[in-house]
Amino acid sequence: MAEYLVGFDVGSTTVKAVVVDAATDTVVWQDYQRHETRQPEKVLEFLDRMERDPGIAPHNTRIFFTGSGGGPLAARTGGKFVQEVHAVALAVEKLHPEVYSVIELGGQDAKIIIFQDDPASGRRKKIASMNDKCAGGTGAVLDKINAKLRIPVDEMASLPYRGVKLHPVAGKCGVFAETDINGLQKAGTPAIELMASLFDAIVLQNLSVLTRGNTLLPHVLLLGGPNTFLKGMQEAWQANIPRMWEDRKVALPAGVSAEDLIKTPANAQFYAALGAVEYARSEDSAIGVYTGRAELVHYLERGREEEKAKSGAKGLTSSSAELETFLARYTQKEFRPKSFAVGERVRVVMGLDAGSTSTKAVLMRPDGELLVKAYQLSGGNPIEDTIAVVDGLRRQVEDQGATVDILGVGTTGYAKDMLKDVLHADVALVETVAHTMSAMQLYDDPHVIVDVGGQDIKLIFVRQGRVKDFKLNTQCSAGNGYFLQATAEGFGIPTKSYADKAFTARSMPEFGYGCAVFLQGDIVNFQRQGWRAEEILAGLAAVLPKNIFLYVAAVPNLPLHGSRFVLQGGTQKNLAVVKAEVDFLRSCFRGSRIEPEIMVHEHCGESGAIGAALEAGRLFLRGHRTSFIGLDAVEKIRYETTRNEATRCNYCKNNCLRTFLDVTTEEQAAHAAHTAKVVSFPVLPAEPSPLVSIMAAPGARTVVEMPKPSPAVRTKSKVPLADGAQRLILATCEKGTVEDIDAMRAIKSGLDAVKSANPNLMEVASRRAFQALDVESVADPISRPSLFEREASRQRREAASRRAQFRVGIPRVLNAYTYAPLFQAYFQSLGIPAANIVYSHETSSELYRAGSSRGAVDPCFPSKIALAHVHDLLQVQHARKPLNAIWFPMYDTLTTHLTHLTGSCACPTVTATPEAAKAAFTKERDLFAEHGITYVDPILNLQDEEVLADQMFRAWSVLLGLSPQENRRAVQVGFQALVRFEAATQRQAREVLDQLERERRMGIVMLGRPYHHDPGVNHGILDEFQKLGYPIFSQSTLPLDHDLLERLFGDEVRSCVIAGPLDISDVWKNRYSASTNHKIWAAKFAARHPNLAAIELSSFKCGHDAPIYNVIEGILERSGTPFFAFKDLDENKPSGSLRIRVETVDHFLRLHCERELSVPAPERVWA
Amino acid sequence: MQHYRRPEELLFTAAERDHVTILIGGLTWKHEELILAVFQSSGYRCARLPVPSRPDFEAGKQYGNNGQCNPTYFTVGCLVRYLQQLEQNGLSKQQIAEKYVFFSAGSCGPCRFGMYEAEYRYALDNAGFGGFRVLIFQQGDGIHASSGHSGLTFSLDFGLNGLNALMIGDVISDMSYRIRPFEKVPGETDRVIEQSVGSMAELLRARGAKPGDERTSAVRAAFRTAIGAPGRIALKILHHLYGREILDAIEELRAQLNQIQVDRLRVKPVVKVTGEFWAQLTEGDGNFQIFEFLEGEGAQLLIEPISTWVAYLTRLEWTVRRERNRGRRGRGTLLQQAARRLAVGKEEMLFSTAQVLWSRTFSRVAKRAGGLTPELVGQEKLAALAAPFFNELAQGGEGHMEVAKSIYYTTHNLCHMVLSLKPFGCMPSTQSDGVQARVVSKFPQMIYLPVETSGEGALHAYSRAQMALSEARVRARDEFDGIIQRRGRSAEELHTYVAAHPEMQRALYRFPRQPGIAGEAAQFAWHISDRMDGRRMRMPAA
Repeated sequence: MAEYLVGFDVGSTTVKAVVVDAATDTVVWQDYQRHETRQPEKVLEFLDRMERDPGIAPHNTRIFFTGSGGGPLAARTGGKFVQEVHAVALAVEKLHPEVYSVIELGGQDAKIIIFQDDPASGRRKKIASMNDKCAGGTGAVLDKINAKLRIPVDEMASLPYRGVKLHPVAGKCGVFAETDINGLQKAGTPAIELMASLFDAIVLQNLSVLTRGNTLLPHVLLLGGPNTFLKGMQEAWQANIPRMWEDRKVALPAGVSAEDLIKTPANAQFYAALGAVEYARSEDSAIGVYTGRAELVHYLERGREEEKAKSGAKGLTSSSAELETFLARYTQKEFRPKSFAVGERVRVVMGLDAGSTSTKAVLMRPDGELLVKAYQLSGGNPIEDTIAVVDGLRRQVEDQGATVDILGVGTTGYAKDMLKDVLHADVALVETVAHTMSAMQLYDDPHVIVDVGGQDIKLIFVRQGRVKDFKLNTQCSAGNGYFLQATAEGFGIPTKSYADKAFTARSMPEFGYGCAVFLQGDIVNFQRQGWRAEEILAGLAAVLPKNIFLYVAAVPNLPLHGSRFVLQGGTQKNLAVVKAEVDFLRSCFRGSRIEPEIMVHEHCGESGAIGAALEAGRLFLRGHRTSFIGLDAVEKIRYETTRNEATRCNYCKNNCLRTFLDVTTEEQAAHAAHTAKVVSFPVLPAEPSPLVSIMAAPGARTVVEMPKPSPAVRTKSKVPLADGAQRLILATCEKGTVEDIDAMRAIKSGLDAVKSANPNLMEVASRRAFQALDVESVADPISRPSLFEREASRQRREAASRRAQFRVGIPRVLNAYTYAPLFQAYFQSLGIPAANIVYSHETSSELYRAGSSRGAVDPCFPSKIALAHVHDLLQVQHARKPLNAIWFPMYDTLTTHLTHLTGSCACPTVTATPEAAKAAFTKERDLFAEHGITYVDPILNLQDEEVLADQMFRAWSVLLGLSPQENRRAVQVGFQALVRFEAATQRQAREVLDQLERERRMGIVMLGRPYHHDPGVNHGILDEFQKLGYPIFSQSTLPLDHDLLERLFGDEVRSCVIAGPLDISDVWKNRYSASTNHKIWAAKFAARHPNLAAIELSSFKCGHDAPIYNVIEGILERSGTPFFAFKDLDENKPSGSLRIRVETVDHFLRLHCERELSVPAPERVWA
Repeated sequence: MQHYRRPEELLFTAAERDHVTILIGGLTWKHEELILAVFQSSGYRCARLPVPSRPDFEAGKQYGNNGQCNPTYFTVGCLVRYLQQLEQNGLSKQQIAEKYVFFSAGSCGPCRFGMYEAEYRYALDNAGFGGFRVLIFQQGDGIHASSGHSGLTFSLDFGLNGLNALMIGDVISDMSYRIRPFEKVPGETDRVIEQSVGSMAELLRARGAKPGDERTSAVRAAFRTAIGAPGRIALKILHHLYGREILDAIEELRAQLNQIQVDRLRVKPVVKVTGEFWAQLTEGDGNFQIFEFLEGEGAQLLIEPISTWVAYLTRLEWTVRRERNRGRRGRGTLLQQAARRLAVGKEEMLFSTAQVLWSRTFSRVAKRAGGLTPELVGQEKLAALAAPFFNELAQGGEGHMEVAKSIYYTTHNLCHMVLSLKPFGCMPSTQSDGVQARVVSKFPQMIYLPVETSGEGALHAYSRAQMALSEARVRARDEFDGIIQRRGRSAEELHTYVAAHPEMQRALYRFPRQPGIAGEAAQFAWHISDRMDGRRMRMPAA
């Protein structure tokens, strides 16, 4: 029997240990120290003291390790390794028997442990969930944002949550959070509100993902750094968890406050070590017997070196000669600004790149010669940054006695539109286009532009001078420069010395690529093995290209995209990263007999600004004369930001808060003074491109006039506008960009005109699918009551009367976007009034947030929202007026118009969603039964009318009192309604297509699945294109008229490539999934129609889209059809990234129009 | 205007059989060795791919489409890397394309498994092996299927041998997991299993007739003519089921395994493994090597035989037909309806017979091999258990079967914990997990651990596995202590008794099982107590 039980917790920064007297269960020794990356040494030191003080020895001790660095050390002391989360759970179970839930937030991990009473053993079961792929919802997100906001540690700890105004911020990942924070910061939101919003986002992210649908029952224990040290974080849990309790009717102990039920224990740092000891009690006494320090000593003296030698790879360079060759080729020449003669008048264009972390600017000759450049780390406000950076440019010229004559100004970056308005710049260019122009100007025919910034990664694929595709890190922040910088700084190495240090490493540890969560874990492990800082830095540089190309951008087979690479962005200044990239790219071409050309952009950090200046130069050379306010005026720009109740927009139910930016330039002020009290300056609507647009369609001859404010009319405003000031209104939609109702109406009518000229058939279909129908009744006739009537007649009459009252709820989700008319007609034709067929509300973030937390799994977003829709029917629609049933069938086999298929199956995720939804609402309590609702979810075969009739009869015969005959008739009526619904949309689609052909314009086919008609799932992406003047079609709304199909497919049918126009066997063999087949056919249709471009939508985790990504791309690229993809859509709407994508696609579609349809693409109104 | 066409599929012709090697993979090494032997016995050159590893997963991601499920990445990457290795060994891409083909199963239900074929081709093309031949055996077509390429011929012999190999592989695999946790000499089970699989493969290799080898005696030829085709098929089936060679080989296997010394009184939590087909089968990085981890943590695993899958596919075919027949039962005249009913009845009988035959054959093999492996759980039973939670018509297999197996093994006290392995991106398995949340609340005694095998995040999987196993260990210990208390024999007494009876230390020592006891040690303790009490139960034939 062991006398002592030892628990060690070896973490990433500290070692904690306890020695427990096994007989008395008391702690006789404990310590907590930072290990300074020397975990084995610290453990040895602890053991030494333990042997000396309490007197542990091999014959009397069992030892147990936990923590990220504990595993290998356990093996060297005879100990046993206990997983950390398990150890913590055991400690909590022992020390806090009242606790049923634990939430632990770490630096890069988040864990939730739920305790459940186990009637079988009388003990408690523990259910643990944790983030295993992504650092979203953890302390890492807080760190990332605070690196930007720079709030001091003490202040951060006391920032409140309670009573602070909250804004929508994505907590999933630092990338998303930062995008939202940037927007809010730009709008003048104070840091206190930003952090509170971030606390809220992290709490909601964990509640929706990590609880796996379980209720966090009280008491709840908060553990981990952020939960322990941040008051706001604690308050956020204390505010949000009780909402869940209220919603789920959790019985709470009387008179206990939320603060007492959700608490942070003092002194929890030893919990894991104590838990390890607790674990010992469940193991056989032969397990974990302490074998002494000898093996650990041996490991430190020799074993570690051997282990290191076995596991590592050679360094970034294998010889000094290789390093010299590399440095000779890639070391950047220092940029020398141009010299100017005294009195010289320097005629230049200016490019400004207002990025999220810095603002860059250049002056260039209109023909492209770079003269001077300037850089300004972001101080938080792009106008201030711009004033500083423009001043920097100006001084470089004027200090030499020359003068600057600005011929044009181009802006790019996230604040490009605001700057264009303030400076009256000539063009605002989307970032992707600016980068491409810059790379193309300096390098001959680049194929792939790799832009790696501090936080953003952009991969732009160019073919023959056109952007073919681009990838942004919309899902993950792994692979950017920030992590490298933070790690180096953690080692006390300045970022500038990163490469020098890394190149000194002769060998390096091999990191697996992936999220920073895992890299961080690897660093701890490598430190334990004795890898030095420079070796770890080399290893991190080596893994960066893998993270960029394989993990974040996930580009399979890079050589397919070309062989000429331009590396740019701030991170490329780190030559260790460049070396790793060069080696990685070369390895990708190994065996292909092609040697890739890899160039580092001469002006890594300023390529965006150069692109913007080039476009301004192009405009100048084409005769455009600048509207720029002038350098003097820039210097004297004054601005005032207002964001309060007075700026709230009341033009729709959203009532968004707007930011008013009142800008005064000297010129305006002077003009105001001159015309004082006579004329005031206009209130100009900001142009939140691309929302405000201009022409009816690209290539159209008619231009829709957007409202232009009357110059002399001062509109009424709750926020007074100073004389001479120009007001920019930063709003979330175009209607909010004005203050005057008439101006708003004018904007709205302008948009309506564009939308009406360019129908969005997805939107038309999604609206039409849920309308009441005009169908005949096919119910069995009712006889009058009589004394001698038969029992059957009486039952029939009762059934009819029941149906007239019966209310059925249908989730507006998934395949309902295709099949709702069938069931609408079925129910109506059987006598259920149209008003009693109730659909859940449209998908929105509010609806999702309200109802999604019951989900136990994390499938694709379209499936996840089904739970929220069922929740909406139960809690909202049913509360308004009770429902009798919820109809959520499992679609198994779907209808199809295609031929020569091997099957027409629905997606298995979609099919099984109703079962998962049912489970979510009957798991803890049967909420359907409690609400008196019958949940009906039979499996349906929609391809076979007889089978479907039988399945419908089995589902509804009892509830509705059906006869088989009337059921069959109702199914027939349903199918007729479905045919009418599809035909009506296709008819309209044909008209629009014909119009496009007549007017030589472009339309867009959305290649997606039925649920992509759901505006909440497609994030309104196609609406943005519609507003830009492109009619929208989808795979299920394309016309099927014979003449059209003959025109598109006739030749291939005649040459026997396909058996008919609706045959896809020429492109796809495994044709059993209905929606996959339809998507492929729609791609073929778009590929053959000259007036159509294609945009693919695909949801994250879509199992049937993944295998055909290359097929869709192949179909469209081979025919030269413009094609762009929006993949991995989920519940987060990355607005910033979407906006860039929409603008880029628009840019290249316009060029395509110009080239292919021979229609000159009109300039934008502002160009 | 140029248009995209799907890649051309090159043929594998009969003339190439002698110099083209068929690559197989995706199962356990035990199954693959035996299947390999079947191919070789039919005159094919054949080799097996290694167990997919983490670098294979990364290669799969590098060369495949984005967003694939994990089994796709692992298996596709494994093939790509194998070919790359061949290239490194000196073969040119052209030679590799000429000398090798890959053979895989085809579609089953609506999950993306049916699209793997395209993914293999795409990844191979990306890796520079465009035109490499991928042959598909369509599951839906059963053993009579032909890949469409004359190089592969599915004769009855070949099919029956293949099924035999699958079944024997299942039994051997199952036995290894039942013996290893209790072996006295570490590593002995693996050594014996490796040896046994080798000799079994040798037998299968020797037993098959090569295509075209039809030489036979005149009497025998006359007899074969006399009994006709149905008679010949029946004879073949009988031969495969009851043929002396196979039974001898299985008995040889039993004899070898029985040499292993075990200590059944080690108290171990019993973990039933379920989940997605490949994730629950592979013994490598594809499921974080979790079997090895759990055994290292002191667990005994109950793995799922592939034979269950074969039974499911038969059941699936039947349920789909049943649904269709139901819808059509009222169609036509009364006479037509009656005729249809007769046809449906015949169909039903055929499927029932197939099910019974399959499970009986499995049981027979299992019994011959030592009787440690229990019979297959009936598909009808599984469907009925899952019905309140998951509709069996939602195809894919993982869906309702995962639910049903969890309930079956828990309510029959056959395990202390259920481990469900679901690869990242598996559609049916993910939804099934959503339903399991309700199952667990209805069966609160169930310790259920779903693990998503994403290729990354092994650490977290191990954390949760250890936590759940800890609870299961307590259960197993409680159960054992309960038996000790109930029977009044101390653990020391039991150990002493077993030490005095060497036959009880043999791996295949059989004893009667008590219902309601999951742990092997607890069962054994009960039995020893019986023997010590003089209640000698009738021993099943060993």
